[in-house]
Amino acid sequence: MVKPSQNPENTKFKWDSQLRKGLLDYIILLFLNKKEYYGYELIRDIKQVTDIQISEGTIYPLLNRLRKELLITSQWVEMETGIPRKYYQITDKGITAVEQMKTSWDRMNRSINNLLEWSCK
Amino acid sequence: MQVNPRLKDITATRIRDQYMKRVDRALRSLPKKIREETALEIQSHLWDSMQDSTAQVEADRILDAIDRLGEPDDFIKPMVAGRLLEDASHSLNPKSVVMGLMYNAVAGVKKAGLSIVLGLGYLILCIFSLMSILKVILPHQVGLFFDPEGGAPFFGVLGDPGNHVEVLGFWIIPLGIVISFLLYFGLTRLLRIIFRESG
Repeated sequence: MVKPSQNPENTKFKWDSQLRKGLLDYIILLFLNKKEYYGYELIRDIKQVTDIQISEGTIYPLLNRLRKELLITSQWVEMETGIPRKYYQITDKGITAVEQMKTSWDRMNRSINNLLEWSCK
Repeated sequence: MQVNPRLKDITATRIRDQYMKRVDRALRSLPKKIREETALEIQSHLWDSMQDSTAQVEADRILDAIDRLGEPDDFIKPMVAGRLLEDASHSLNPKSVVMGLMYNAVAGVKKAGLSIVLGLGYLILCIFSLMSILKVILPHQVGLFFDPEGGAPFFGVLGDPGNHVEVLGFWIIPLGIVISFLLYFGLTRLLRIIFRESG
């Protein structure tokens, strides 16, 4: 019988989870680089476009942290329903960060692809 | 800016209100303005989530929304922990320091370990402060003691010093105060550096 810690499915799940956590900042900034979003809309579009299922509550600490790092700003907008929404926009510093993240991502992607080619020889 | 959107169903309203009470409890350590804004954003999220639910009954739609959003303690704690530590490192408020350490102690093994180390640092700080005060009250029983016949030196309070010789005298008071201040400022600044990634 395989112990849970030795189960390959558990290892893959943990790795997937860590990978997603590491990329979420980049993913959120990419979306906000296209247009402004409110929290629920952002989660919905992330799920639709990337197929990444993120726990809805976890988006708010992330948005809070990005706002503290001055990569995004927020403002409340009154809606016709009477329930205001908090919209998030990317800042100039956030746009610069996205460009830097893209460079890092492209470099990482090339490195992994090279490694995969090498490991198949 | 407090809005409680009116739901048609009493059960749905009760479910929503109970959830928001849990949210308010999770947020209680934060300043009022931030508490209110965060609670409002969560209410707004629940409302939007309910509109997307396919359930027929309003109570089921709010339950779906709550289920997808998760328990307040789970996603609010990182925000609260980060905010408390940020406050502590800027204001040097002892209450923020203690609460920040407590929140981070339950945030995972690594942060628990760091919280314990910092907690020990603060404990040493308290010891030095207490020694400075006790020296005034018990001048002959507090200090750094050496036994002329050998044995390890002892730093603290001795009920009966006996043959032990106390070497610091009243210097322990300014020394204790200076060390306490340095430890307090140093440890509290360290909080910001170590827990920079707290949400």
